[in-house]
Amino acid sequence: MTTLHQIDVHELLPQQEPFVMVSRLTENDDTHTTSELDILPSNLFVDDDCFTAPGLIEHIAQTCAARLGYQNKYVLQRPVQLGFIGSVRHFEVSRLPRVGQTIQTRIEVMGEILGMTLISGTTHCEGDVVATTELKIAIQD
Amino acid sequence: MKLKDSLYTIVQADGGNPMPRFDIRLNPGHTIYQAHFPEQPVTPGVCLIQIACELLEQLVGKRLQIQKIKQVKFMAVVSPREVSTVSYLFNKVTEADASGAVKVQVTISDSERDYTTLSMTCIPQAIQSSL
Repeated sequence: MTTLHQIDVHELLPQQEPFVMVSRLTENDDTHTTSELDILPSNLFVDDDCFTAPGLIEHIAQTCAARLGYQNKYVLQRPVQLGFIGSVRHFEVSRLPRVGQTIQTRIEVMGEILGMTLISGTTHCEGDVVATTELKIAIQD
Repeated sequence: MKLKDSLYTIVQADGGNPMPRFDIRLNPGHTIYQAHFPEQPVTPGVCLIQIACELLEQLVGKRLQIQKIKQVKFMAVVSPREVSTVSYLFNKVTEADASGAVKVQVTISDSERDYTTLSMTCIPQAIQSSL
């Protein structure tokens, strides 16, 4: 079995650089996935040294995309599928992470139906919660 | 990174009360479209949200950042191969209180369909950086 830390996250995501907003997966089980993102100065969503709200949402969505990519590639042995954000609800940001920091995100799968995955996500930076949201991710067949 | 004059340009701005409206043209040659996704360019939903915030900045004349999103629904994908121009209609803009918070409801559409509806609160950027 391939362990998570051996996997290049690029193999799990349909997005390519410079639009990859997950650096690595750190945990994955039946209902949860955790990931990290190192915020580099070159990141598309960095503005005035801060990683902005759209970047946080994309990072949480791609944590879910990487989870689905892992299932496809390592469990179901099929290609990674394209996914889109179907909806965002109750997103709230308390502070913006800065360049040079690493953020950690935990998503919980609340439901999966008809190609849609509903998740709730929480992002931490240096011990503080910086963002929370619920997302619906739609998978393209 | 600002997306204005990079991922999109404003072709028409109507700041009129009560429903300001901006028509924007997407730049199909942008790097984002080669990465999201290779061979199937789609405007990332989060970029559609960021554009709404940038247009709102222009409307209220100050730097803003997103604090809360009550709800965004993406009903149809905006592919630059099929859609070159979309309209951002600000159905409701409420400058809430002394904090300078601005609440908006936005619909992104063209003559064919509605692509996205968005309801969010933005706050002045200065508040964030003083934390």
